[in-house]
Amino acid sequence: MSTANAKAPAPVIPPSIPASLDPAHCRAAVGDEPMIFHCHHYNTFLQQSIQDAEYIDSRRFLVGAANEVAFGQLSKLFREEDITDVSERARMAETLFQWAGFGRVDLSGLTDKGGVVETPHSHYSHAWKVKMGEADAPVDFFTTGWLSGALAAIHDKPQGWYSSEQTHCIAVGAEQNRYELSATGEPDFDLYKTPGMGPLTDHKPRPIPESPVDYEGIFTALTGMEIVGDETGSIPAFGVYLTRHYANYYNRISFEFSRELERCFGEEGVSVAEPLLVEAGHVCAFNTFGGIMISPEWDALIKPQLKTQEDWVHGMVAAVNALGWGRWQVTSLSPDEAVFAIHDDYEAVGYIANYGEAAYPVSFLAKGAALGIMNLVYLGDVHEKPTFTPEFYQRLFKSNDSYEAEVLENRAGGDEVTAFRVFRR
Amino acid sequence: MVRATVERDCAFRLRIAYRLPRPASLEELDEVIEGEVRLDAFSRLVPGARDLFRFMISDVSLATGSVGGAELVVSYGKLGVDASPVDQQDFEAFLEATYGAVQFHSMVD
Repeated sequence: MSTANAKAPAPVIPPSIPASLDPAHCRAAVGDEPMIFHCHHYNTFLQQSIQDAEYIDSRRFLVGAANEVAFGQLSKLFREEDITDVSERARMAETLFQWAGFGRVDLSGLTDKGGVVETPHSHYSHAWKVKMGEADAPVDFFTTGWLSGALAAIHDKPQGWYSSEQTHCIAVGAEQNRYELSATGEPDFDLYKTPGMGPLTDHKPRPIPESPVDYEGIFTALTGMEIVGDETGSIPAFGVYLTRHYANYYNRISFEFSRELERCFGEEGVSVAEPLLVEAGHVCAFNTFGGIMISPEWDALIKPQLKTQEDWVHGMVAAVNALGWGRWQVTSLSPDEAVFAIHDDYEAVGYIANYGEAAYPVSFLAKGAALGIMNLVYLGDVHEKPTFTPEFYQRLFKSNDSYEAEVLENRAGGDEVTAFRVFRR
Repeated sequence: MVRATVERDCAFRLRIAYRLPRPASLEELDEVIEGEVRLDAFSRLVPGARDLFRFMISDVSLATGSVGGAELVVSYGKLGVDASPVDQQDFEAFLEATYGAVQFHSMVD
């Protein structure tokens, strides 16, 4: 339902990314990799939270996770699309990177021996500089690993054939990012095999309170929008900077972080990891959901249906279903408490696929996001279009009035769905 | 008169919401549109919804509004790329000539 008036030349990005939408599971995929929307705040905050634990070697899995998804996805795409020519493969990889909002990369400087990639357009490096300030060391672990996985797929090499290092970084003050790849045959990061889509269930939507919100129409409208990287590989939409990122990347880095802490400190390690990962969910909700709810897109599509604060919750839940995170429902709702049920949330599905049934709830992002919706609507009066300042964040998520959440059902632990009760303290 | 509210987007780029004295029309805006107009026909999918349009006013500055709506939101620059001050000057000169004087009623540092 998205159209472009014929006023200018063809779009910069050719429509060659074979993305598929699975409305039955509220998921989207490219090359059997589930792709989900997240904004630069979440991307950088999550990485920083992981890196703050200096006693673990997080580089190995931050780079390894990106290698994993790039190699798995591109290998599959090249097979499915029957792309055998190396330069054609490289063009597909470049286009995918740009389409997803990660920036731009020119792979023409790479051969089967490796080589150098330089770019002034990097989502992670620019985002880091804007959000965190200047960094002491290169921060774009994602592109570092993604390039090594992509090059291996392009040349039909084993997944870990290329070691990869970022030597220059915009976030450190360089004019552009620089990555060096070498065909060492020995990766300088951890190797993982992507689980692809993971084990999905047949969704049995639960009854929800009556609402004027047209869930289906909103899903169709949002998933029909052309939300893709522009000429610099950036996706400015809904007032934020989005990426069409890899669910399996977020899952790998979050769960390896948690597991590393568990290896170091036993059960206490998990209890250290959980609040950090939930906090990343708060940051995501505050910025992405907040940005969405004050955006012109929201005003045009969703706001005309909203009369009450409860409607705003429904409107946001309807929008979340278009992010690729699984099927969200709010099954009971009042200003005092709500229950959110999530069918096939990407964290639980990814955990089961990678590690088997979980001994504890693992849907950290979802928990933070559910809290965020309630805090934004009932505590933050987001309908009045507040200014999203650090002080406002503190008031929403760190005050005595902030909502709390408890896990009612745990999909990763064997339940049908993941469900949270979100309630006032 | 055009009422302008100054904000920052979430990458701290300048973002201004312009409230026009009448609904925006793409015909009137044609002069400042750089490249294509992206139109999302929301009204055909959701009862009561308005169609959304997005267009660039320069390489890096994006305008968004809705058909029948009187608000235009312009982000000057984007993540990693600054906008030239000319973007804002030229766009507001156009607004002034087409819709009346631009009056700012709040500022965010």
